[in-house]
Amino acid sequence: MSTLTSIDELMFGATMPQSVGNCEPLTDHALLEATRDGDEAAFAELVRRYRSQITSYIYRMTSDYEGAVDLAQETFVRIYKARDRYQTSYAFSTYIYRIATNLAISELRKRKRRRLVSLTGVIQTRDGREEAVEINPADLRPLQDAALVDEERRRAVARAITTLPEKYRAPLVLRDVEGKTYEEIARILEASEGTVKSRISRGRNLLRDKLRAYL
Amino acid sequence: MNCKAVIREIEELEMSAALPAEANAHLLSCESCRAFSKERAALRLLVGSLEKVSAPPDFDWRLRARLNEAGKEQAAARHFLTRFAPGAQAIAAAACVTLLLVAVVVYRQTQPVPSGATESASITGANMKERESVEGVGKVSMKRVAQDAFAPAVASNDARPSVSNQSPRARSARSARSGSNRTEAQRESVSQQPRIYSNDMASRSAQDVTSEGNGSAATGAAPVFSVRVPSDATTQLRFEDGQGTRRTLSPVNFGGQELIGRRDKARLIPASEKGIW
Repeated sequence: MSTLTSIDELMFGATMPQSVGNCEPLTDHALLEATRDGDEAAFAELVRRYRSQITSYIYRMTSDYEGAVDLAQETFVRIYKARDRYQTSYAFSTYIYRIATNLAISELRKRKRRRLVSLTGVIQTRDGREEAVEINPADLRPLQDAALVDEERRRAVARAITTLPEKYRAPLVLRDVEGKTYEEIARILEASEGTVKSRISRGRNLLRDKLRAYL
Repeated sequence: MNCKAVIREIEELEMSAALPAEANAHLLSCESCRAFSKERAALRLLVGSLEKVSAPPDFDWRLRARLNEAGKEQAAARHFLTRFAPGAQAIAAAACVTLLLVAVVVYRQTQPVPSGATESASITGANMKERESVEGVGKVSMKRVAQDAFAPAVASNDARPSVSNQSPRARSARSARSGSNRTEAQRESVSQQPRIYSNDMASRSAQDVTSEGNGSAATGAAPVFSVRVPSDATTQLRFEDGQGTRRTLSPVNFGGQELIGRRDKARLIPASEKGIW
């Protein structure tokens, strides 16, 4: 009598790929090759490994949970469609983060064209350009609960990240939220390491200015 | 270690890593670098404190639905594209036909054409004599003789082609050679017989036509190449009430006629036995 070992097995209606969860887990490359050969369980394992990471990353980029979930699913759909064209020259995480970054940036640009502005933001002209700047006044009143303080701080940080220009936002989130190395970030963003370091430094300076009250 | 190098070390520091000893020694002596280090550490801690969201429980279900939908769309698109495309058998048949046509064309172009091969099938010995005499009299190209030879030869008792099936040039050449061994009535009856044959005026030069006309006039024999200048065609029309009318149609000029018409002598040469123009 067989038993279900995970929810993925139930969802995709297939058994888990060999050696997944048994001895040594298959690498991402091996899973994608198995997916290429028609093994849907291997793709389910890939989804299980990366679904939350990608959703969280896109959420940090877009600050919209439902949108982030939708874009994360679109990321996996694209990977599945392009499974035959995948090259194992880079790590799979680099590949999937690159797709997710491109989708997130594309969504941000769409929002910019639609001129979607946060209700808490205003249009401010700086250097002849109009951009959305978050009003984020520090609430200096004493709070009764430390948990509330932490929650408020996290919201402020999230809002501050959202207001960063996208070219600074993506490397900063990848570095300080996702914990990627400079080399990985450079591959994900298809930029040089020097450019990545420079953008991260500038993004931190912008963030410091926005969050000075919490530092 | 200077401030710039220390700041770079602080910027590139991993999340849980410690600064090198040299950088720490510099921080003890440099107030600004120490402040920068504290500020960056606090900022990274603040950003790193952001809780990571996780995918919703129905993530896989929704993803599977999207994959199924994408697969159906791909299949539909593929079916739409292949519906109008010809099948492999049709393409293969078309390719075979094309290759066959190309092979035939290449074969016919590379095959040497024997001279006079087209003539030998229908030209009798008498015709060959006529042709030789014609070539001796006027400037008649082989091509024209070959065209004349296309008139079907009808075997007669004296093994000569009948007059009605010969070209006018061949007839006139024979008349010139044999003299007046026929009566004018016979000639007239022959010339009135309805016949159509091709005079390739486009391939002839005006000089050819003129010289033939001059030659015939000079020798007093029948012209080597008879061209009839057309006259007006009259047609009588009758209506239902019994009345009628007569219409005269002028000949149509196609240029070749005009070329001949400039010459008075050549204008006398009929363009056609039939007189179509």
